[in-house]
Amino acid sequence: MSDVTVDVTVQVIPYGPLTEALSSTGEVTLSLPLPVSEIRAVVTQRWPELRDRVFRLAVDKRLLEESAVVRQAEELALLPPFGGG
Amino acid sequence: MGGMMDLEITPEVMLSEGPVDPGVVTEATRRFASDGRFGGIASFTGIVRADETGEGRVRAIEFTAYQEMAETGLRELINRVVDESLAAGSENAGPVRVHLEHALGEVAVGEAPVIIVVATGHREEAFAICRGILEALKQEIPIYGKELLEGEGYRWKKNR
Repeated sequence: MSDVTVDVTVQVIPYGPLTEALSSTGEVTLSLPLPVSEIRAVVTQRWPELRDRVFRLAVDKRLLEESAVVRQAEELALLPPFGGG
Repeated sequence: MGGMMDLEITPEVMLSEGPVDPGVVTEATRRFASDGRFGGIASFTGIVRADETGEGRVRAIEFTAYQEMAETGLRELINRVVDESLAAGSENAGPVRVHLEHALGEVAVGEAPVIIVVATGHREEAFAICRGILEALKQEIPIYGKELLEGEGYRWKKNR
């Protein structure tokens, strides 16, 4: 394991009901590697509207568990409970 | 690694604009049946219901998706469900074919947002895989449905 962190600018894209809940969209800067739980804290600080929302995170089109550690990222999707089928 | 009941070809997955044509069931069934190795073909057709919500009756559902992730996710999910069906100890080895279509955009009451057709050697696997795919789709695939109510309102559909 290396201690080196890299600051990465990541595009944040809300889906479903979150497209209406966020007052703006945009980018966040993450110091990677970071666990998903800390990425959640970063986006919730940037968009306080997310505080009471249930959503999962997908990094570069991969749905991640809270304990997963993200080492690189270009795109961060905010995914509320699904409604397909 | 998969076992004896591997998918022999990539599952057919389509997300496209507008309701899914119920004729997809017949078309896929005919195509799979002509193969000669399948003893059972199960299908599921989801239909939009005119639910009474308290704020108005549902007249349609408008679907959106994180499309690239949804399509990749569906292919992976289908492979996993087929593998799990095998791992569950089936003695009925054989090939499996799957065709799945999901609508994007507006789907009115009485129209189909989703159709799944599964062909296997024997009936148990056809039912199990068809149902397994549907349940996993609802929990894992980034597709969203906005229930449009008669009048102006709407509410977001939430899968359980």
